[in-house]
Amino acid sequence: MAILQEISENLQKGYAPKVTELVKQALNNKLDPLQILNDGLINGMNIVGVKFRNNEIYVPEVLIAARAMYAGLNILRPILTQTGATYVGRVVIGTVKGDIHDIGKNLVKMMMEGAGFEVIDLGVDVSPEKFVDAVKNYKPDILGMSALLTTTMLNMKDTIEALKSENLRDKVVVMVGGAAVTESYAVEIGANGYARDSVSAVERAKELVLNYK
Amino acid sequence: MQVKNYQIEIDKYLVLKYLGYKDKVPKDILDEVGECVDESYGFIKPAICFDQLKFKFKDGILLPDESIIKVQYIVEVLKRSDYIVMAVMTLGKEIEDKISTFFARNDYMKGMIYDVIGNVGLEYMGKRFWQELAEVAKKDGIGITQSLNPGTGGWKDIKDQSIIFNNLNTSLIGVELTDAFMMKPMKSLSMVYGIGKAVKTSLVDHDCAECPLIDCPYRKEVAKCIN
Ligand code: B12
Ligand code: SF4
Repeated sequence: MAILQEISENLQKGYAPKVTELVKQALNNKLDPLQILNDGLINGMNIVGVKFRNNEIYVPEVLIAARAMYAGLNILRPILTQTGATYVGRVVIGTVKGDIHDIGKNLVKMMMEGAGFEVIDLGVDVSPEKFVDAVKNYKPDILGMSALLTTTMLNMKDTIEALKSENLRDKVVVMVGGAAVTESYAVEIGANGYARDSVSAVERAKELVLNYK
Repeated sequence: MQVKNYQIEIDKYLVLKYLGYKDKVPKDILDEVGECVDESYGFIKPAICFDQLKFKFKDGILLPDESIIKVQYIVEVLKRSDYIVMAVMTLGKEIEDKISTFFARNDYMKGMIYDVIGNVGLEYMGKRFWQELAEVAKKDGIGITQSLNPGTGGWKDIKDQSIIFNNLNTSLIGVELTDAFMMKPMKSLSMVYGIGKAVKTSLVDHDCAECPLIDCPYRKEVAKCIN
């Protein structure tokens, strides 16, 4: 559908006002809001992610595209909530206990939302107990933890242990990341996935959700 | 111990570079970054506290409070100094709040711009402070090392942050060290310099050579880098 293609293209260029206008127009044309989301906004963010991965564009272009994505999402979300439309998956994310760096976590959240995940952000300095409670309450597909320093990333392990002792570990996929975190640390603590940036995080999240669902 | 407030300058082109722009910057982005830089002067509150400390060379760098810097690479760099200077610098809490506000509003672009402005501000401050120390050292005919930051590059052990914090009253500039060795406010840096007759003045205030993070967007091969 031409208008969905137009939404996707304008989103990629970061034209937020144009995306707003087109999403409204698509709704007036009685297009399915879920289709507008999937084939317009998510499609656009997907292409942005691929271009970023291939070094064709840089972080600012991704952020400007995200601005346009949120402009569209702000219109669609209330409608989608009413109709009970489902997401690709649910993610609970937070920066671990003792850590207040949230830039990386925020960027992961943004890209996950752009890929159609529902994201519940617990903020910074999140204790293992809080992560466990959130897993109990929200029943997410993925639990994401972020840490900036080698000292704070140790709390990722504690959270995984806390999930185990509450018999929740096999109920949720655990993803970890952040400046000090490495793939080998993720394996060592028994996380299911690691990603070095927000675009890879989304790719990994999709794989993991597909495999575990 | 001394406390100083600083006037800093934010280079908008450096902000753009760290944001990822290589050469051509779209006009609207250039304007947006320019506006953010101008506004940031209103809520960046640069302050630094620092002190000179004598040390003994015994099992490492033994300080007057009996604490010891043991990391081999740092010991090697510092051991020929006559004294060391320890410093903690910050841009204050307001910039952190500003960044969070934009992220909370899903304005990731503005959030990132202010985040990078903070990093550029700290880089500027670190460089200025080092230059001031280097000028004094030069007048005295002595040398100064590059800045050494616990947790970064050759200084593997971030827990050594506590050595700096035990020796400085950082509450005077509103900085605290958490149990996990993280500084609050976020936009803060800690460092140590070695100064003395036997020290050859470093060409740069900080060198990324010892750091394995080769993809780091802030990496500088020879010149300035932020931590
Ligand atoms: C910029 C920077 C700073 C800035 C800003 C920090 C801030 N948060 O505001 C300043 C100058 C203040 C700073 C200070 C310090 N820093 Co610093 N800093 C960096 C640097 C260069 C980039 C961090 C960053 O902001 N990246 C941009 C964001 C977007 O990336 P990110 O957070 O990594 O997130 C991405 C990925 O990691 C991933 N991700 C993140 N979370 C998650 C979660 C999940 C689930 C997944 C899947 C993925 C994922 O996706 C994100 C988006 O792409 C890193 C080195 C590096 N190249 O990573 C060092 C680094 C983090 N710093 C380091 C250190 C040591 C310090 C200091 C202690 C130095 C000192 N002695 O003063 C201080 C501590 C500050 C404090 N408050 O305590 C070390 C930490 C090492 C360690 N031992 O823990 C690093 C790794 C540098 C190094 N050479 O080793 N720092
Ligand atoms: S700026 Fe980047 S490369 Fe340079 S020391 Fe810091 S983290 Fe390492």
